[in-house]
Amino acid sequence: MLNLVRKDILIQKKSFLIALVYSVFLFAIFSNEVFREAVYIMGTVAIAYIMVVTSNAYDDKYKSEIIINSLPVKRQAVVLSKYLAAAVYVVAGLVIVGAMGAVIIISGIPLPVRYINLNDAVFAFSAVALLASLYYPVYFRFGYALSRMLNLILFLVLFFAPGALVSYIRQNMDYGTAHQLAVRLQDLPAWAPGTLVLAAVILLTAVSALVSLKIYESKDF
Amino acid sequence: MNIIISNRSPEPIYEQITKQIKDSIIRGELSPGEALPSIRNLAKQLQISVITTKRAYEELEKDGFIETVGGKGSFVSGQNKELLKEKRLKAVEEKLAEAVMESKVLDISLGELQEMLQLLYEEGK
Amino acid sequence: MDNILEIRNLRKDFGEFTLKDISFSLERGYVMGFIGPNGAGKSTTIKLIMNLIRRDAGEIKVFGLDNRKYELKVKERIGFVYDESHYYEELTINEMKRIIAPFYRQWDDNMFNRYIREFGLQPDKKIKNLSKGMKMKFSLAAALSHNADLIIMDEPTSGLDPVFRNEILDIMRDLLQDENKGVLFSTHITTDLDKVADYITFIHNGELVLTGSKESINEKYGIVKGSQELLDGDTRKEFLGIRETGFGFEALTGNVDRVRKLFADSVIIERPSLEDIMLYTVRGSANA
Repeated sequence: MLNLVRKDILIQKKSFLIALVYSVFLFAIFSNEVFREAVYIMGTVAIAYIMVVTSNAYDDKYKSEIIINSLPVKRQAVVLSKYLAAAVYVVAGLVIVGAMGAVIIISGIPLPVRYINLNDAVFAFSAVALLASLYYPVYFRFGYALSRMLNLILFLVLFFAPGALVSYIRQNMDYGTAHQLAVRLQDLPAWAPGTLVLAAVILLTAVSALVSLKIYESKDF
Repeated sequence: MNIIISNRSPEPIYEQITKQIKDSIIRGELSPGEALPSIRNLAKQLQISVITTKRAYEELEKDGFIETVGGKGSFVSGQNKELLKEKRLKAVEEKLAEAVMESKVLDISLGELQEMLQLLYEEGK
Repeated sequence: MDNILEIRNLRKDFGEFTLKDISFSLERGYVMGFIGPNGAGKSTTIKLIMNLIRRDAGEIKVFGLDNRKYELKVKERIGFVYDESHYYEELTINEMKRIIAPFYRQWDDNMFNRYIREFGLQPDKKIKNLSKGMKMKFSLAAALSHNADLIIMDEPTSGLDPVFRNEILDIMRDLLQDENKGVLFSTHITTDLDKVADYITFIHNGELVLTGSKESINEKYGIVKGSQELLDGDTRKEFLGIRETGFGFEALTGNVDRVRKLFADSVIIERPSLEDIMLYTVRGSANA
């Protein structure tokens, strides 16, 4: 399985260069009062996204799954390696944007940047896990071209959903219920939101992986 | 030993091989106990399939020309060459007898027949 | 008998095409030519062996092991060459090798490098800059560098010049100096097989037409040539395919002895090439 992850990295060495260049722009554009809290998360998610899509694009372009599945490898491993690779990309993304942020601070470039922290990592990881969990079953079932469309939709949803949710709550819930919900949430201990999100995401990923395994198991190449 | 194969000949390839190896043994080019090339090596050299050379060797074995020792390869068998020669001699005799019969039908004299034979023999040299 | 590959009643239904209960087997130490026109089901069969396609019914045993139950064990010892390159073309030969090699426990880098040199390939050249023949050679080098016992090749010679095709045949002969190995070689260029194949399996429209040693096929099948008058309702049935001209007929029989008895000296019987067998059979079934 590690060989498969290694493969996904070796075929897209270029992506790391792109990620580095991207992170420069990232800080140049989003290091402002509005985005400063989210910049590391956004950067990491974007980098992981680029890497997931790029490796699948190569697999698709050359129909390389024919070769991969002819090697002494189980199909399960091929599926799980894609999930594992996504996690590796998150780590790569965190390292790249984290380092870039640190470079900016140390070199004294006048941008409102703080150091990367654990919270960034947890949220970036959760966001990628969420995206990957929705994306991979569609990719394995319908192939690369269709899954790209889904990707676009997912991206948009991720951007607009929080806002839409808030306005939905405002319109459809009377003030009392909404207030009560907010109070309940505030009553939770500090570790709870992150942990709950993480637990939900892990559960979702597990379900997604099972679905992907089932799909891939009966696939014909 | 030479083995020459024709892909155009109607004679199956394994028979071409069998015949040529037999000839080599009878002519004494291959002596008893001498090792023959392995089935696989011969196939490679002649650029033919393994199963063809295998068949040829099986025929040779059946006719007692060679012996195959498992794991070691094939060898020209020790059985006396004289016997093999005798067999062939008998075949020649039979063919000559046929010619004699035919001559008698056509009223060809012994002298004429001998003359014919001499001519043919010298031509074939 | 020690079969390196055994296929029994293999079936795969694609809707528009069905592979119908194919059976054949290959003994260790031999080359099997797998022939049939394009679209006959050769690639489907090979993909079923490689477990790239899921079979609907039947049995596939490689080295005596079920190819699905013992997937890893089986694939560890198979070398595969496909008609198209599915490599990551942006990579160089060496980079691609570094991806493939760790999957095989028995990968032999020295052997790989030897083949690369022998084939005249430059390891730092990108795959996309290789000619079709070169890509095929790279494929072959990878297939031969992990001590595989069964080499499976799907149309390895299609689109290649005769010189290179001959090279591939030579490599196979070299390989078969080891009597534990076996080769399954699919092609529609049957002249390659006249030279090297020990066994032939011929499929057409997803159905098995014949399978057996080339020797036995040579003995059973024959091209019969004779005059038109010999053909009538009964005698036609003796043939698998007939080609009639204004001056006589040529036909394929699968039972030379019978035809010889039937027609005696009134016909000429010749040894058919594999191409003859394929052409007459395909044409015969198109007319039927």
